[in-house]
Amino acid sequence: MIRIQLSLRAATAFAAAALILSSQAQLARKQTDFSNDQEWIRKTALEIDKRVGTGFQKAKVTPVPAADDARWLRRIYLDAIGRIPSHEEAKAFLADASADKREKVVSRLLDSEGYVSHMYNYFADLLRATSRLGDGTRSGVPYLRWIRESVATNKPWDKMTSELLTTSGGGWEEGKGAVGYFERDRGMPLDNMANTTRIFLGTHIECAQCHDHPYDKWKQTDFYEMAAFTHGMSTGSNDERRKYVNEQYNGKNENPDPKKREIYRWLMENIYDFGVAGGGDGVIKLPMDFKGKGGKPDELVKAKSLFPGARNGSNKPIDDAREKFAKWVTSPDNPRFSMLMANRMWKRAMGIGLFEPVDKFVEGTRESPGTVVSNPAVMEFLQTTLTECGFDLKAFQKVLFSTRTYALGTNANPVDPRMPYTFHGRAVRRMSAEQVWDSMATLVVPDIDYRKGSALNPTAVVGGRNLGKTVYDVYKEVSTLKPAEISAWVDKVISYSPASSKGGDSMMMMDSMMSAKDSNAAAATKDSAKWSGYNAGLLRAAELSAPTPPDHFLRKFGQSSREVIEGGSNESDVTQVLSLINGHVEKNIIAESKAVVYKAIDAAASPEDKVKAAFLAVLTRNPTPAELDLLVPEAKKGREGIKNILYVLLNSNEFMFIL
Amino acid sequence: MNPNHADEFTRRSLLANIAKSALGVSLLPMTGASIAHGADFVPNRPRAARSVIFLMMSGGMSHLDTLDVMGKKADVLGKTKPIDTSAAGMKLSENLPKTAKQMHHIALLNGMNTTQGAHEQGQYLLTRSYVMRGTIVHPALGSWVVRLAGKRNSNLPGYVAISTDPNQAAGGFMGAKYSGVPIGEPGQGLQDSTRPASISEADFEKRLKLADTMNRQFHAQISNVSIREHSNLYGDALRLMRCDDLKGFDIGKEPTEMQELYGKSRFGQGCLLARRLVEHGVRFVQVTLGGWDTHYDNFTAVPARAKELDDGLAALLQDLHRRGMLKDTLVVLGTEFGRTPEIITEHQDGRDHFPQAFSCLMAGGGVTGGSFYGKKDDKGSKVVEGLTSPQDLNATIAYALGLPVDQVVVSPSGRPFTIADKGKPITSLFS
Repeated sequence: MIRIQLSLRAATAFAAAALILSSQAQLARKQTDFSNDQEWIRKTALEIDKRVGTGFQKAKVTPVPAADDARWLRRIYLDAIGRIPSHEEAKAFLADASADKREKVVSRLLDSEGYVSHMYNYFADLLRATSRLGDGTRSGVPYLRWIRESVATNKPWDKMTSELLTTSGGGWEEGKGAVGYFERDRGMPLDNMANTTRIFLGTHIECAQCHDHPYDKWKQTDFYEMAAFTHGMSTGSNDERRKYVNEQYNGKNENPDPKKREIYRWLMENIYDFGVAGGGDGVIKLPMDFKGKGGKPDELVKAKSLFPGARNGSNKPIDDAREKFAKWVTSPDNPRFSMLMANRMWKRAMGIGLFEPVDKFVEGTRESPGTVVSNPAVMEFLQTTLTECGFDLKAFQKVLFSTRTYALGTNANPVDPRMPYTFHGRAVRRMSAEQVWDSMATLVVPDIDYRKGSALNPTAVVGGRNLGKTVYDVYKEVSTLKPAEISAWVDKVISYSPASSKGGDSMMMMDSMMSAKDSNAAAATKDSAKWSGYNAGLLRAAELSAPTPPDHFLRKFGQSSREVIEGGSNESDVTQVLSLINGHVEKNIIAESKAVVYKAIDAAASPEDKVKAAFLAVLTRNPTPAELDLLVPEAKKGREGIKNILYVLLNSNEFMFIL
Repeated sequence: MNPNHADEFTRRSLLANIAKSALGVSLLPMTGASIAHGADFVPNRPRAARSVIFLMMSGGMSHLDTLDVMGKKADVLGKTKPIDTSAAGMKLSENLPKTAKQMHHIALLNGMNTTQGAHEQGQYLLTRSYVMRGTIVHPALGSWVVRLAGKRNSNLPGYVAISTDPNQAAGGFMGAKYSGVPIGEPGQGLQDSTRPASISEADFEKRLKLADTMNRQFHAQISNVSIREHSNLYGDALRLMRCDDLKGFDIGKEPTEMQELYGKSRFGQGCLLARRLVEHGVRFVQVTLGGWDTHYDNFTAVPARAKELDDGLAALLQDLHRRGMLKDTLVVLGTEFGRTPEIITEHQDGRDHFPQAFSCLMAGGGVTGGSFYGKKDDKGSKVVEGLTSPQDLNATIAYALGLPVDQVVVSPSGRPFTIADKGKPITSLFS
């Protein structure tokens, strides 16, 4: 009763105080907040450096001298947040004289929105998440939203894994987007299990899907014992609304009105037809064409993990086999789980894994040496560290980026990524498609990391009509309706036209008022002035529908189609060069008169300073005297000459590679 | 073996090219004509095919609903009905009525069998002849063909991949210069292949010259094979821009009736582009048609896919024949595996993956039309005659082109590979 009398202001203050209290309590419960424990980060980084250093002595190699500030800065921006530093960011860092300036940058970058975009791309590639599913008709957005949110909240990797493997329910429901992991492989549970084995266990067992593995020890029965964990689950969810909507658009008693059927179909494809039901049977029958040893066609096998740890003892279907499996995958009994992710993160920071490929680890046997780990002492320590910090990937990456190993200069000699590497200097890598795209956008759009697209919150367009709200809004409206109410909702959509919303009582109007209250929406409106007039497609790759169409710049430069695990490529080809010399660079970057890079160059007075500004903005370094001689004459010619300079820098090989 | 050996070689040719461009000869030399030795190439087989158009049915095309209906039981065919073709005694599915009229050009490969039952692995084996391994990326078939046969037209790419995932057309250990040049939308041709109007010819030349100078300074600091490969591609790009044959990429130059003949789908237009490219001297063109993964509702999904295939394939054969190009252009239709003879009712009559038995086809390039090789049982579930592996298929393609199937190419890591691994060509297909 008392609360009712509180003024709004008092209520807000009360709520804020409660929030602080609860977060303090959370902090107290959690032993350490590793990602903000600078002491722990320093200490752990030092131990890694010691072990890497021992490796130098053993291999008798001399490390390359440390990278200078400029090179280190460009490198960490690309590795940590996926783009080059802007002119302003580079200038501020190089001018900073404080001793701990690198430490501050590592912290700031990993707590930034750019980090979220960059890690989101990584996980979406690893987990093969796409905006559309199946033949492109169904929405895959809830899965992408779940990934984004997991990264934004720095969800520990073991928790993410557990959610991916065990979540049931409808994908749009709060926190249920992880069902996309199975939903994206609808009808292909065996392929899904082969991918699971690769992602979480570092084992390629897909060959054993059809026969005993010819080169490895895996038998076809091993594969089916794994497949038994997830067998029996179904995609699409068992929601009664889904059944109703499905019946309306293509059932035996389908709705006679084709316009309504169109709306039901839209509801099905965008809202209801995305979910998972069933906890996993724990048993499966061998296929009719089974040809491996140790089993017969049609024989029932019980779930058993590839490495000892999890099994189902019952011949009858159970309903928690997925839980059992996930528990084992993420438990300390399965050391591969921490090893794989530690090595993946190491590769992300250092360019090459401690073993390669990162999703294949083969135990040594008497006949074969198995996978070679280039520095086992480092591998072991990384595993311990990742477990110690509770699979906090942000804390773990802060450690890696704080090492002196990371800060070494560039190894100017060719490094064969297939051979064990000592990490005595940074191996050169071409930027990923996303890094190239995002870096170019940095030159044009102010505050690029915060410019949002609608890929994760698409607008509801039903039967060609824009409902003036998002798909998520529609989900919230229809999620609790009874079948008869869904029918009424469809009737309203039929009679809806954008003009009629001016009447004031339409539900669409109410919803748009609701969303204006949303604080994100309000902030977006305030900020949107900053971005008005810039090409609407110039957003960070993470803000675009994924994958982009096959002829998009990103795909040309190797963006993954997300059909296979980490399917991106950083090989160069002719069409990339064509877009560098005739396409994107000229049309969308240089021709953009509002591009932020021009502001930095215009602010410089002398032609020489203009060249320097261009170099800092594009290559994050100062020009050499020879380069000044080459380009100052252009800078003297005004804007046309400046355009020539930018074109030259963007077409320099140096721009494309991370040194 | 020095793993950097290949690297060193590239470095030497790079220096030679730098010398050329430093002398002001031109901005174009870079890789020169190193892979354009088409003129010197003497084929193993007389009257060999010169180009290949490879139509990739991605997802696992159901053989029983398309190519292999002859003598099959009604219960495995389900709703699919056989129809007569232009070749006496031969039948195709009713889903391919136009192709049926071109059957006299076609040889069916009904004995196909693969060891791979997952898409990625199946496609990999089909188009690369090797099982996917963690230690190496094998080159795509198109890369092999260009490597062994050379380019036909040194200005144009040797290998073009239309609507194809770039990873599938990757040159693997042969490097980026053997990768298929990707075309997303056939109608848009080769994107960005002309100088933007906003840059004058003089500025364009100057910009590239300045970039070249910067790059030479950079290469002197860092020795890395991918940087140099990236750099060399500038030469290829400029040569391509400046040649007359660029119009081979423009299907807009085709009359409307021709565009309609091939069907307005992306795949149909891709087939039309493939024909134009072969006409202008491209050695190997791949066109991909996806969506064959019909676990669900096979009898709705297959006819929809087959319509696109039928329009494109039939038009391609008819058109190549009319132009007198069919005899030296080999058309291949491939897919990673077939689909189960069992119809899965709980999946709205779907069909699952079936690597044990499936079908591909070949036409043109000296292939005897109206014929078939290999045979399945009456359920379409087992090959009973003429078992053909993906490696055999690729060996047959190599044979059609007159290429040596035993020529070894050593990877930079020192491992020996051949175009079709241990595959044997089916020589009886050729007259």
